[in-house]
Amino acid sequence: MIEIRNISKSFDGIKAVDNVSVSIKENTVFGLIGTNGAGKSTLLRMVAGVLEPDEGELAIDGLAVLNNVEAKRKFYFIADEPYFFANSNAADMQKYLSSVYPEFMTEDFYSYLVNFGLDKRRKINTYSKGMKKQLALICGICSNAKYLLCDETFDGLDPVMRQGIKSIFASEMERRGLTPVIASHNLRELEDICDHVGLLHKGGVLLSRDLEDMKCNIQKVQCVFATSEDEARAIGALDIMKNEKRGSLNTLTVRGNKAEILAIFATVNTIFFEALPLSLEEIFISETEVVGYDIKKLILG
Amino acid sequence: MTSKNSFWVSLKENNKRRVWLWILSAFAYLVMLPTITALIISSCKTNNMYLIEQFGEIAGTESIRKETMAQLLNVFGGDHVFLLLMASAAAVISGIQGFSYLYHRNKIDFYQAVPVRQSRRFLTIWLNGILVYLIPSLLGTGLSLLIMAGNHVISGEILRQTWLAYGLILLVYLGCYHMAVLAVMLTGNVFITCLGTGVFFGYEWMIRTIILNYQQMFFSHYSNLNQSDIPYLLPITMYIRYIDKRHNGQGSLCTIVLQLTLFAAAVLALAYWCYRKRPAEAAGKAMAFKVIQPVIKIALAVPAALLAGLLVSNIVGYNPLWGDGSAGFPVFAMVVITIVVCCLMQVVYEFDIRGLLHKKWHILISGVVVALIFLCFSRDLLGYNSYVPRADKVSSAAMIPPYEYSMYGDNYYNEDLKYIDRTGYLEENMYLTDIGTLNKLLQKSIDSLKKCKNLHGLYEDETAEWYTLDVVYRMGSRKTVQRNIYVNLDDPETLELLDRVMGSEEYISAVYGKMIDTLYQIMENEPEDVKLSYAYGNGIYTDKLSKEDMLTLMKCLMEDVRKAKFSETRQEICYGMLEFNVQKESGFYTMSQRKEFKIYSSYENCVAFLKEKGLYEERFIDPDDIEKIQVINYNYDKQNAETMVMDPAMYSDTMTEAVYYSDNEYMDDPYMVSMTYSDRKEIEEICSRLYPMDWSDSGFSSDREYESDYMITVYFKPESDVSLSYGGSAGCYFLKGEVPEYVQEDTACQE
Repeated sequence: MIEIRNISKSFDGIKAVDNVSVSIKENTVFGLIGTNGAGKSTLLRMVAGVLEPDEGELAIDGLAVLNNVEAKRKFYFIADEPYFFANSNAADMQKYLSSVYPEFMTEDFYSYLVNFGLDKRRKINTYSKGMKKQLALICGICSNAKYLLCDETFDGLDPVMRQGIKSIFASEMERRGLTPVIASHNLRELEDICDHVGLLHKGGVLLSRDLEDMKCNIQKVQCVFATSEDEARAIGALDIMKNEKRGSLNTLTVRGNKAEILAIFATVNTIFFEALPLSLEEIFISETEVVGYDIKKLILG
Repeated sequence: MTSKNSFWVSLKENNKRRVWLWILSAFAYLVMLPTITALIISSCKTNNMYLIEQFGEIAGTESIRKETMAQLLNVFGGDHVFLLLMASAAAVISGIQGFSYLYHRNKIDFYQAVPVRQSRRFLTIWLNGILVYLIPSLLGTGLSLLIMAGNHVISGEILRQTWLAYGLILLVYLGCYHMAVLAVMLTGNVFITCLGTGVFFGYEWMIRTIILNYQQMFFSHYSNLNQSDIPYLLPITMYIRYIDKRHNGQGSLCTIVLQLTLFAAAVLALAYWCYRKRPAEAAGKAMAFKVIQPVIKIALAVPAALLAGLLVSNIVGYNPLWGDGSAGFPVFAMVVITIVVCCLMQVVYEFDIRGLLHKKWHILISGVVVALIFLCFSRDLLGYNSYVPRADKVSSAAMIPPYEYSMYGDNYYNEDLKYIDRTGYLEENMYLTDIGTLNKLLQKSIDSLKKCKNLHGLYEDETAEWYTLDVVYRMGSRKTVQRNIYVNLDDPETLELLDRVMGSEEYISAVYGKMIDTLYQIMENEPEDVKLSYAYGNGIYTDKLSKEDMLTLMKCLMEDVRKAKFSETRQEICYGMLEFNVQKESGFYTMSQRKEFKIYSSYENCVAFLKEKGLYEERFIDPDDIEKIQVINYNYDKQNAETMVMDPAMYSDTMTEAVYYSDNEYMDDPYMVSMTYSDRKEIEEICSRLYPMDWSDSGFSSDREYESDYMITVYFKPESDVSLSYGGSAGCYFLKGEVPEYVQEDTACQE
C-alpha cells in the first residue's frame, strides 16, 4: 500500500501540494484526477522519490521512498514526458531496465512490443508520441514492479490501445497484484480503467473514493409520478442529491443503494419509472456539488 | 546480483550518451598528439639540415637528434602549456556534459525514479568522465612515445618526464573536472553552468587583481615583492607555479602531487555533497540552491564594481598616491556596475526581465560592501600606511635593495647551478635581527610622506635623493609583512641606518656569504659535465684566474665586505669584477652561467692580492692600445632633448672591426659635435678619466654621476690584444666634472 500522510510541497512559495493524505490500496487501479496545476504530477514525483516533500510522510509498503533502492524497486514511474536514452531503441531500454529491475520480464517485453506493433530495433526518437507512451507502459509493466505510476500516460492513447492496456492491467493485477496509479486531468479517460479515484484540487484532496462504492451509493432515476401526493411522498422518503423536472418527468439523483430506492418507489404510484446507469462524471458532479464545488469547471472545463 | 551488472550497464549506457565526447577526446589524443609528435620530429629534421652540412653527417645528425629530443621534452615533459590546456578544456567539457541530465526534468524523473543508488549513479558518471580522458590520453601518449622511439629520438629522461607530466596533468584534469562538476551541481542550466565554471576559474584571479591594484593605488608603502595575481586555488596555476619553481630548482614533486590531490579531493567532496542535496526541481533554473543566490550575487557584484572602479581610475588618471585626478568617476562607475550586475543577475535568476529590480536589498548590501572596501583602501581605515610592526613581534626581516641595471652579477644560484631569482634568494637567506633600525627607516619614510602629502611632493624636493627598497618582516606567527620604504640617500641619518643594516653580518651573509659558500661547494665537487673558470676583469680587459687565486680572492672579498660601509662604497667607482663562470652541457645547448662580485678600490685585501698578481689597473684602458678616441657631445642643455639617441653601430662591443664615422658625418645635427683625438698626450689624459659605458649607471649603490652629454668611443689599435679579445672599439663615459677643458671647448655647440 502507498501511504501518503499530510504531505506538502511548495515551489518558489507556491503550494503545489497542500497537506494531502491518500492511501492507495494494492490490486486496484487508482485514478488521480485534477485540473492542470492541481498537483497530480508533483504528488506522483514525490511518490516516485524524485521530489522531496517539504512536510509529511510517504511510504510504499512501509518503506520510505527517498534514496531508498528497495522502495524504488516496488514501482515504475512513467513521467508525463517519458525519457528514453538518446539514440536508443527498445532493446537498449530493455537491457538497461533489466539491469536495474531484477525481475524484469524480458520475454513479455518483446512479446508486448510485437503485440503493440513496436519495432525493437527502431530508434525511439523516431516513434510518435503515442508510441513512446505505449513503450513506456510496456517498460513499466515488464519491470515487474508492484506499482505503476503513470503521469498523464493515457492521455492521447487511442481507444483500442487503452483497451489493450486495460486488459494487460487486468491480467497483471490478477497474476501479481499490479497496482497502477494513473494521474490525468480528464475524468472521461479514467472512467473505464479506475477502481478508485482521488480528486485533487489546488494541491488538496477533495475526495478519495472507491468507484464501485460511489456507483452503488448513488442512483439515477427517471420517473413520472401519478399524482402530486405520490411525488411528495417519494421525495420525502428519498435522500435526493439532485432533482431536475421537465414537465412531469423527474430526473432524480438519489443517494442510497438500488434495492432501498426501488423499495421506496414501490410504495408510490408512478406512470413511468426507470433506473439509469451513472457515469463517473455524473457521480463526481453530484459528489462535488454537495461539498460546494462545480466539477464541470474543475475537470470538464 | 544486479549491482555489478547494473554498474557496467549504467557505465555503458552513460558512455553511449557521451559518444561525441569520446570522439573528440580520441581525435585530440589519438590523432592530434601523435601528429604533433611526428610534425616536431619532421620539422626539426628539416629546419636543422644545415647542421649536417656544417658538422658532417654523424655530428650533425646527433645534433638534430638532441634538438628534436629537447623540443619533444619541452612538449611532453610538461613545460609547454599545450597539454595542460587541452586537459583542462577536456575536463570542463566532460564535467558539464556528464551531469547535464540534471538540467532536464524528464531525465531527472527517469534517473531518480529507477532503483539505482544516488552514489552509484554519481560514481558511474564521474568515472566515465575520467575514462573519457584517461584512455585516449594514455594511448595517445604511448603512441607518441612509440613514434619517438621509431625515430630514435627518445631517452630515459623523456620517458620519465613524459609520464611524470602525464600524471601531474591527470591530477590537474581531476581538479578542473571536479570544479566543472561542482558548477553543474550549483546551477540548473548549461548556460549558467558555463558562467559558473568561468567564475570558479577566474574568481581568485579577480580578487587578487583587485587587492594588489588597490593596495598599489592607495598604499604608499605597499610592496609588490613576490606579489602575484596568479591564483593558488586553481589546478592549472598550481601546476604552472610548480613548473616555474622546478625551473629554479625549487619545486617539490611531492608537494605539488599533494596539493593537486587534496584540491581535487576537496572539490569532489563538495560537489558530491551538493549532488546529494540538490533538489530535483532545480532543473532548468539558474541556481540549484536558492539560499546561495544572494551570496553569489553579492560575491560577484562587489568585485565587478571594484574592478570597474580600477579600470575607470586608469582611464581618467586617478592616482591618489601622486595626488592626481579625483575619485568621482571611479566611484560613479562602481555605483553603476553594482546596480547593473545585481539587476542582471536577478534577471538571470528569474529568467525574466521583469525581475530586474527585484530584491533591491541585494543592491543595497552590495553597494555598502563596495563602499566599505573602497573606504578601507582610500581612507586607509585599517592603518596600512602608518603601520610599523612591533619589534618584539618580528622574528627576523629581509631588506631587498632596489635592482639596478648596473648590478652585474647580482644573480644567485644553488648548488645544482640552478638560477635563483635575486629577490627570492635574498628573502630566503636574509635574517636581519636589528628590527629597530629597519623600523626607524620605515618610520622616517612614513613621516616624510605624511609631510609631503603625496609622491609629487616627495620627489619635488631637489635636495633629496629618493630610492625605494623592500622590507619583509617575518612575524612570530609565520606571517610576513612587506613594506616598501622610501629612503633619502642625501640624508645622513638614513645613510647611517642603512650602514647599520647593510653592514650587519646577517645582511653580508645573505648577499655574499651564502653564495660564496655555495661557490666553494661547487668548486670542491666540480661535476663532470661542468666546466668552471675564473676571471678578473674591468669591463675592457679580462684576466683568467687560477682556482687557488679565485679561492683566495673570495676570502679577501668577504673580509673586505665586512669592513666596507655602504655610504662610503657608493661614493667609489667599481674598479673590477671577480667572475665565476660555469659552462654546463645540457643536451643540444651549452648552458653558461656567471656570478660576479664588484671590487672597489677600498677593498684592501682584494686590491693587495690583485696588485701582487699584477692584475689591478688604476686606469680602465691602457693608452698604448688606443689608436684614437672620438668624443661626441650631444649638447643636451642646448637642444633640450628629452631622450638620448645613440647609433649602436658606433660602440658595439661585439664587432671585431671598428667602424669609424668621420666627425663631419655628424654635421646634420646642429647640436651634436664630434671630435676625434689621436694625439698621444690627449689620449693619455682622456683615457685616465674614462669609465666603461656598461658600468655607467648611477643609482642606489653608486652616487657617482656621469656626464650624459658625452659619449666616447675608444678605437683600439688593430694589432693590440684587446682589439682581438674585446673588439675594435669600446664605448665609454666621463665621470661628472671630469671632462677635460679642451674637450669641452672642442665639442661645445657653436650656435
